[in-house]
Amino acid sequence: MIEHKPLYQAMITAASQTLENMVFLEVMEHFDRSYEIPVEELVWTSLLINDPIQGEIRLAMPETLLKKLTGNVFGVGEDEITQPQMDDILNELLNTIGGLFMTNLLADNQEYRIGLPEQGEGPLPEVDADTIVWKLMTSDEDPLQIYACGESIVALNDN
Amino acid sequence: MGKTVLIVDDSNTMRKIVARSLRQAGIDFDQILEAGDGQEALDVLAGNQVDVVLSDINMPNMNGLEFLKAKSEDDAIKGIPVVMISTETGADIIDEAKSYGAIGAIKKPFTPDLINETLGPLL
Repeated sequence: MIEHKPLYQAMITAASQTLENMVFLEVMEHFDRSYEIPVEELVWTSLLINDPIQGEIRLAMPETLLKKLTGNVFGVGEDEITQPQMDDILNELLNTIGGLFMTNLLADNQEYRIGLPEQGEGPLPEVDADTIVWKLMTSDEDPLQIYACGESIVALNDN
Repeated sequence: MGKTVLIVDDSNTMRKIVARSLRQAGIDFDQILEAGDGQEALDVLAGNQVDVVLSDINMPNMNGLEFLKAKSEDDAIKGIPVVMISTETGADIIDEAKSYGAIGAIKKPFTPDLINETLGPLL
């Protein structure tokens, strides 16, 4: 059984609450920890954490899942979905996950500063020793992945 | 009689999500108006009878705090209640918003229940 440290759990909780409340999707840990979203299907966005810790959070999912979420939120069919709508959903999800993650991590009412989400292009940056990965999936088994990187974030995971 | 609510957020997605949560909360709104920033919100308030405003804080052009300040200086609209909706939780920001007349704050991600709990007493 995997023992979840507070930082790991803070992100799981942030992602679960955000996806459930904003797009009515239940998320859980992916049954296959080695699963990677194929690069050709991948869409992702990233957000800088500025204070009181520094780092970056990335949210990645297949374009098919993003289209599904966008259709649900805007109440439109797949052929009516626009790229700006999809970008907006992905960025808002990460913005909310990032804010909630910081709230879960920090003491009550401690202030934090995060940047604005920026759409990523191409493959995700390589995972290194300063990166923590959350592999999640929806109840329909659509995968989504969250990455947190930066020395001060990873240091929290060791505490 | 149904009420009119104004949702102020630079994200079209968030405006749709807030509108959907209002409907799910079972609050009887006749009309849901939208604005993409504080200036647009002031323009909407100038031309419409609005019962309550739900506003984001971080927005381009005119942010939520600037919107509150401008609204508080206009006698015709300063009495319209505003609830802030944001990922921001800093006590300073919320206090500043309240000093300009915001009557509460809802943190994202919110549930229809939380919307109902916050807006119910206002309507």
